[in-house]
Amino acid sequence: MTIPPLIAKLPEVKSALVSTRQGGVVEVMREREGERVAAVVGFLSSTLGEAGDELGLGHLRRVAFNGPGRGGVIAVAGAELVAAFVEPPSSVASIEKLLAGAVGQKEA
Amino acid sequence: MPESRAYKTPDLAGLVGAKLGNYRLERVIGRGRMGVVYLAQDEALLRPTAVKVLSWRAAEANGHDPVQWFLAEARLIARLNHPRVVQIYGAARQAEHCYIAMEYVPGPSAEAAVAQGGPLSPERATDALAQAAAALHAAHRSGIVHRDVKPANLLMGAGGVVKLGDFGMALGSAGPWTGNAHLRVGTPYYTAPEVWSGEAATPASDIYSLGASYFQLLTGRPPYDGEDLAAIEQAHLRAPVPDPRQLVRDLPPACAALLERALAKSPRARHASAEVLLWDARRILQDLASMRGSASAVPLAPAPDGEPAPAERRPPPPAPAPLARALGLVRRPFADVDPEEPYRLDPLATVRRMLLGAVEDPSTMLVTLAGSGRSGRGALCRAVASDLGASRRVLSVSLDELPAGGLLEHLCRAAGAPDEHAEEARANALVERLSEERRAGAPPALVIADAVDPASGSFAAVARVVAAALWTGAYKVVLAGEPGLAAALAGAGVDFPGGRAVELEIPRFRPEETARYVRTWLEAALGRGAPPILLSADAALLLARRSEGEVERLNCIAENMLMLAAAERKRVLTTWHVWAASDGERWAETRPLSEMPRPPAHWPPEEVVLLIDACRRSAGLDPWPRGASPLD
Repeated sequence: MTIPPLIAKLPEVKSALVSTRQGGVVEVMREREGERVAAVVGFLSSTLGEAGDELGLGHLRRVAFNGPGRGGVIAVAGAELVAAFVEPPSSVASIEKLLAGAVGQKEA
Repeated sequence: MPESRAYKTPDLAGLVGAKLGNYRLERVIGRGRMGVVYLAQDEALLRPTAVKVLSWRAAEANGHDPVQWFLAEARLIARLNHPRVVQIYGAARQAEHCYIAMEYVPGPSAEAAVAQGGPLSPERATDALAQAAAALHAAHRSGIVHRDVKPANLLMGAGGVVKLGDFGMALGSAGPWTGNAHLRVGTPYYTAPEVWSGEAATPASDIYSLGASYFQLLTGRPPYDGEDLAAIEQAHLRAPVPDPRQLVRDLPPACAALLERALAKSPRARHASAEVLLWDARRILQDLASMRGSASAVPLAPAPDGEPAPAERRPPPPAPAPLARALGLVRRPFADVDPEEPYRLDPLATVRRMLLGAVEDPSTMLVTLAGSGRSGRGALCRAVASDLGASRRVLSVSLDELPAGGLLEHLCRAAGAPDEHAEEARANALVERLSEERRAGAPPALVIADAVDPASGSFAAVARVVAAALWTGAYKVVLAGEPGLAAALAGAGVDFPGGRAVELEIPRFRPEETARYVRTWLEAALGRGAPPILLSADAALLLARRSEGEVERLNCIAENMLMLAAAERKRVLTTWHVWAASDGERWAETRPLSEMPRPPAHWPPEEVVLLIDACRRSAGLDPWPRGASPLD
């Protein structure tokens, strides 16, 4: 898996990366601390995945989160994870939708 | 008037550089009423020697002919041949000086040790008491009363050896001054009541003095510490024996009971002989050892997966303050001082199980455990000693902490075997002592020796210990050291038939085990509610490479990584932390966070990328991302 070109070109996407589910770096775009971010993304996906299982949501597919000035989306793509960090945070919803399509997730 | 009264009193302290016989006097190491003691070099035998130069004045003050008095003292000591008595090499008169050349004990006196480091632990103080009692017993058997037993005359040599010195006031029962026996000599703090009353000093007086010295070793002060001589005298004569537990609260009751008896006012109420005192001291030493064992024998539920049940539950060491404040760690996560914890995780738990199984196997008498000095070998030995200490006698020793040739002496002392002078006699005494326990129905004792080096001077003693175990079956042996111990033993002539010896090797961590180990101990060390500390996947790979799979190296690097993270106030450990942390010894105790290295503006440099790539390739991963990445 690589960073989807559609996502990489969007001006709202300030940085992005692909990591393994264990948090290993696969690809990094405009992110100086890719190794650190990949570790956190891997931890988030495994922790939230477990939480989703506990809540009966099924396997984790995407996580979106917002801070005051920036938001982020993590999408599961097979054995890997794609993460995009977005400004302004209000754009997270649209980026999430694009990312889901780019990694081949279809809504029921 | 005796002939000696005509002698002039020379300047005894001004003889540095002078030569008396073969001895070149180098410096003053002690002064007393009887003379001055120099450290000297024996220029014939090229060994350090203690040379005591007699003070005429002291001899004359006691009404003695100095030369006769001096020769009597020398002959008196020369009658004693005991490993716990300072040995005499010779005595002579040269011009106006009479001197005795003696064994030099290169350590402080017990008095100096207590003055410098405070009271000794009950084990160490009782061990010193036992050794001094053995020396006194030998003296009394030869008809010699020491008359000046005190902490300053207990010389503490290498490897915990204690020797009784300065028989300068000793009174031989067949000596020429029996008629002056009522003269009060000795040091007030340790002098027995009957001697204060003007009676003759006897072996029981020495026992009292040794008891008073033991009191000082345990508490840091003598039993009766009056403001003047009269007050001290009255206390010795009439005051009840002070309870040392009022000064050292957690002192074992057995130590206080021994003191109560040794310091009894009536000589008849004391230990009947120095040998009885020695037995009493040995019993306390065994009780102290078994108290440690019983504390470790708290029954615990079986651990999952057949892991050995932990025998000891010591409170975990707290996290160093910088790690506690910055990262919320409540205990030290990578403390190898605790023998228990790293050995509950594979691969170390597996080798620990194998080692325990081999020791429990009735047919196995010898286990060799191979591993480097950083493999966790020492901690594994401590863990196994802790596991087995409750069920059998375990004599555990690290050879790098003993002087060359000190192994058998140490084992004999630890086993309560009698002191012997020759190595062969010591081995026999050890076997006899441990065989007695076997005959009484105890399981075979276990001798664990770590840091065994076939090239060292102590290896002959190791081979002797192993050969005796294989020959007699009185005890089992675990030897831990670099690989090749079994071959070295065979080379030293130790013949072990098949099935009686087992060779084990401490395995190294595989990379995936490294990450699991770090994560497990980080989780265990975090306080309740503290956010997690993460280890990046590439950091785990690099850590496995830089620690070379050795647990002690891994512990050191991992704790240093935490220090770096604490300085940055970050909770993700990255390849930079591994890289920077592997360059030093443990930082947690020595360096403030403000002095920690900080990450560079661009990380990683190309040479590190190449190394990380190599780690990733060996783990079946693609190289570190390049191309569109701003890392380039």
